[in-house]
Amino acid sequence: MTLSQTFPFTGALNRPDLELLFGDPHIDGPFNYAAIAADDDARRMNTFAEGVLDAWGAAAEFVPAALGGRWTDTSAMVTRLRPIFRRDPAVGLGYGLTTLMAAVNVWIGGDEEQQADLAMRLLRGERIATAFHELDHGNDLLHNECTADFGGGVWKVRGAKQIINNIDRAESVLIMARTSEGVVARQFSLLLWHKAPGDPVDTTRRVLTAGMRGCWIGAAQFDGVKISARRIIGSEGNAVATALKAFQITRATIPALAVGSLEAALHETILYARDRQLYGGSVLDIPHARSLYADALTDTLIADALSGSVVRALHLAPRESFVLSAVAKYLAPQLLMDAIQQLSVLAGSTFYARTEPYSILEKLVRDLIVVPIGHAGSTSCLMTILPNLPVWARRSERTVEADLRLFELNASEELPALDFQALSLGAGSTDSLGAALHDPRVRQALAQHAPQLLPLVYELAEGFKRERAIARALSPDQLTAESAAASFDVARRVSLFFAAAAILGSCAVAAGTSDLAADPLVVEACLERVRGRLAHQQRPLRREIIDRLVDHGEWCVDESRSVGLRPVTIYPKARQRVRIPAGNREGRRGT
Amino acid sequence: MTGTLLPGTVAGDVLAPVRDFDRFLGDASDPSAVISTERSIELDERSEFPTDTVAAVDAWGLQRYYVPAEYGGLLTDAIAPLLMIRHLARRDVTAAVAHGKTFLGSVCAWVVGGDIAARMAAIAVTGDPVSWGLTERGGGSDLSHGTTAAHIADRGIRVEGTKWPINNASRGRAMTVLARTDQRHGPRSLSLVLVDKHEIDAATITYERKVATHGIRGADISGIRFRSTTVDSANLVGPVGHGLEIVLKSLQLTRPLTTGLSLGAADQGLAIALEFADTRRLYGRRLAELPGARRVLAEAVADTLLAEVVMFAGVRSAHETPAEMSLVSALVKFLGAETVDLLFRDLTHFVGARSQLVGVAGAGAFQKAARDNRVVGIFDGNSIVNLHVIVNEFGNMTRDGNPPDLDAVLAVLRPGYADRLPTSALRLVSRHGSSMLRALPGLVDMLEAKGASVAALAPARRIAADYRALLDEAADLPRQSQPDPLAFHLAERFALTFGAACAVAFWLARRGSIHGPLSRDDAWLAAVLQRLSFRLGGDPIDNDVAYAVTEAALEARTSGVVTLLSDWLG
Repeated sequence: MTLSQTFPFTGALNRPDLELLFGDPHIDGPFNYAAIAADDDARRMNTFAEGVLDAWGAAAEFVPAALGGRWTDTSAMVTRLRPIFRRDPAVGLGYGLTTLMAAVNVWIGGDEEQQADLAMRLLRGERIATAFHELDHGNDLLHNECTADFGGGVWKVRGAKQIINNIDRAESVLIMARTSEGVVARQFSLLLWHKAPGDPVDTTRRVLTAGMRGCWIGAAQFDGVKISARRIIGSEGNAVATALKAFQITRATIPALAVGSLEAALHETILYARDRQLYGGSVLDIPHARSLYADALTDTLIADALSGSVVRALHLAPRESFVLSAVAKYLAPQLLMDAIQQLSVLAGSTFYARTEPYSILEKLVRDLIVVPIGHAGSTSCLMTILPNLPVWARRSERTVEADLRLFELNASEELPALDFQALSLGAGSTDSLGAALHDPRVRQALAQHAPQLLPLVYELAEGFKRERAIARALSPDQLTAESAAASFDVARRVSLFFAAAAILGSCAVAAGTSDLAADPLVVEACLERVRGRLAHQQRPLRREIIDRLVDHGEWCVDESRSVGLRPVTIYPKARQRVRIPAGNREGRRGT
Repeated sequence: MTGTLLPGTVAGDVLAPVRDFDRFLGDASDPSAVISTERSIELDERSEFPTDTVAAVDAWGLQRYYVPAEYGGLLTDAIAPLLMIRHLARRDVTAAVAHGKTFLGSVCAWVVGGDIAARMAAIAVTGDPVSWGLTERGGGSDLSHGTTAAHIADRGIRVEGTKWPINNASRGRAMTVLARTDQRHGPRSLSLVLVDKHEIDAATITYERKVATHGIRGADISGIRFRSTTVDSANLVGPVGHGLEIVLKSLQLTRPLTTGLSLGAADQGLAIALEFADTRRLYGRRLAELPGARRVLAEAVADTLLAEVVMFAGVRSAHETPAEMSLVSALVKFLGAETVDLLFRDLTHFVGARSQLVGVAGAGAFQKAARDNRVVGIFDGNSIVNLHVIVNEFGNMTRDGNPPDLDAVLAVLRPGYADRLPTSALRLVSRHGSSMLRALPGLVDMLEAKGASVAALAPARRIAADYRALLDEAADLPRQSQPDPLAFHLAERFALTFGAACAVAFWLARRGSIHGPLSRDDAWLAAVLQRLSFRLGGDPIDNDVAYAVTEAALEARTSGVVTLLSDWLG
């Protein structure tokens, strides 16, 4: 039986939920938390999980429907893949995300033949690694040194790439190489290398990391690997432009997926806090512990609202995605990091001295530290936002209405397929997301359902206006890497206002429903935490809000529901068996 | 008061052995040194105990500085063992945790004094590890509900129960065990017993296996089970029923000491970040030249120096104002650990991918120090416990009283060493909170009179105003057995204002004794105060201060450590 016979490739609707295939990670099973912790210790991927994902045809998630895959609505893709991140972020990253990072470059820059070829490879279960990073240059891609020289109809790649996920076990590698010495931004090209025996390259050196220990991260030393001229993705010199468009998709998607890991951590924390008896009650009875939990849940919900809206913006407002995806990749991982930090303080010695059955918390803390660093670090994201601020501010000031579809995180209709060519490298012509802070329809919904929040909303909207005025007045010398720290602060604050807008928008479209985003106490919590971040001073949430958030957390645990803004059933007791074809992992390095 | 401020009370230079120890440990980048970073990372990766390192440190005799001179050891002023622990920790936190545990394990005996202290001293000076059996499975920091029991009879004390997770439970020779001697729950139901494995029937103890930990992976964090383990009646540490009280007093001494671990970790993190900034080229320039990078570095320098002045104030207070240590030790421990946690979170972003790598391109030390460091905020009195202690002192902190004599407050920090730790002067609660904190408004006035820069004065004034507002807010809080989150929030802010008081007092009392680039102006003070003000809701560190303090730190890094203390580096 081949993979495609296990489940048909296309059609997401009849495909079993990964939650069902993985089962409850708290009970016996090959991909339960105990197995995941053991794999983490041993620095290996969970082979059962990878087998399930192969059988499920997970790679088809990264192939556009037009090319035979399942990818239409990116938001729905996030929902389908979150079960991996609720269990083991390392599998999430190592199985699929690095392949997605490479593939989006081909969907954007490749020609028809290249796209069809790659789609075929992915659909038969192959991986691609993304070989862009050089340790000495980090996010400063324009100073990368790995080169490719053209001659005799082929490119010859020489140089080194480091910290490359799956470099040794992927069948193909997308390489960013210096191909000319001309204008800096046009010096680099993307070359898709399909490995062949005897290629002059060493990819065997593994790089160990403190988080995501199971991932097979390595380095490559190219000594004249030949790549056919047909394998250049996009035109020569186009690597940076292609990558900057492609990475909008992954920068938006990664934090949205990582929200799943926080959902898991919040779930474990409730289990721990109920179970652990201290001072004559449970930890969950201690007001300070409840406050820590409520803060962590709130920060997670903010990250969920922001990253969820930005993922939808890829489809609905692609010309604004350049800035928005940088905002999401800058802010959401920080929110998630802070959230898990709070949970680690709450769990205390149970986190630090890994104590069963809660030892997964310790791993999640380590894994999540990697999220803000990998694939464009925080500063790199701020530097994407910064030069666009004056233009964005002018256009935002002219925008009256938000695109409320951005906030329909629980929409039953799928979004139309992504238009890769609509992604751009500018600030867009309008501010579809930020406008939610002053959109009259949002105000009206709040006035009707949560009038008590209006003063806080007005305050935030005023702050947004002031910030836009500051952003508009930034001069060109205030928009570079060499600008004063204060310029970066503007980008930081603008990101926070986007987060507030995402919360308000989500509240407005959910108003009148039983969605979490419609709950005035939850919205107040999110807005208060954003305000606290703007003032870099967090006061504890009100008692009533804390109780509401802890109750929600407990209810989700009791009902096996995910705790975020997109509630789904999680951790089913009965695991649906899936046939993992023998030899499926053949030829791949599983360690 | 048994301690003394007068320099010269202690014969010789208290810090001379600290420098000797530093030289003995050597350069961690040298694979043949007593501690090499490379080997520490390898051991950590394999979760292996640093056996050779600890044996070498034993042979050098660090443990003698854990034992008070009056019992035959070399401990006079506690700054010496504290800085030695920092020397260890700035090379390998695991080794420092493993060795320093003996100070924690034996300190109850010093608080009690007398024969038991002499017996403890005889064990500790040999280098045999002494551990501290406080916690039990499922009990965490709630010591009063422990179930391990000690049955006292004429023929001896029989101990039953399990202590877990305990640092050095397995490899330790002796343990100070907190055990129940009264089945009723109350403040007098626990007692302390010294269990020396050399004196008991070995068949009566078994071990719980080593626990996998987030950091200090090589450390022996395990458990011990006592089954009718019988020791001599003379092994009681303090009177029956006084166990909890003695532990609470002992924690007042160990909390400041553990900030030495935080600081050692911070020294590593900061050194890596400074080197990275100095050598990394980004966007065509040296990273350290980018203003955004300058600010991050300045914040890390400020965090390190804050932790250092707070640690220093803590250990000086243990000598000079022991009756305030119930509060001061909690302020010091909370703020020190929290500040260094923050430093690592911020520097992780700054150092980027390198912060997560193990054993590549000289990387590995950062991620280890970051994980190791978090042990400080979690064990032996975690952040929540420390904040709770502060909340419980609100009544004393807000009680009206005469402002403290500024000269007496500054005298605590002035150069000079004490001859012994006045353990009998420790109290379970303070009378008027912390005189250092109470002196904050006066110290800020004095700062102005002594000509501090506006860059330092402005945040100092702001923090002093915050302090006054905090007093009002705390005084209005109802007393609760389970304080609400607002009380914890206020406690955190009190700790930050305490940090400001320590920094200002340090500058006033010791600025003449600072050496090196940081002595040139008060930029370090401005950076520390601006950073504290930021954490209280004010503006971030300004460009000029960020520039000045990072210049000084980049220069200082070439000589080893960014520090305001002099004469401790070999």
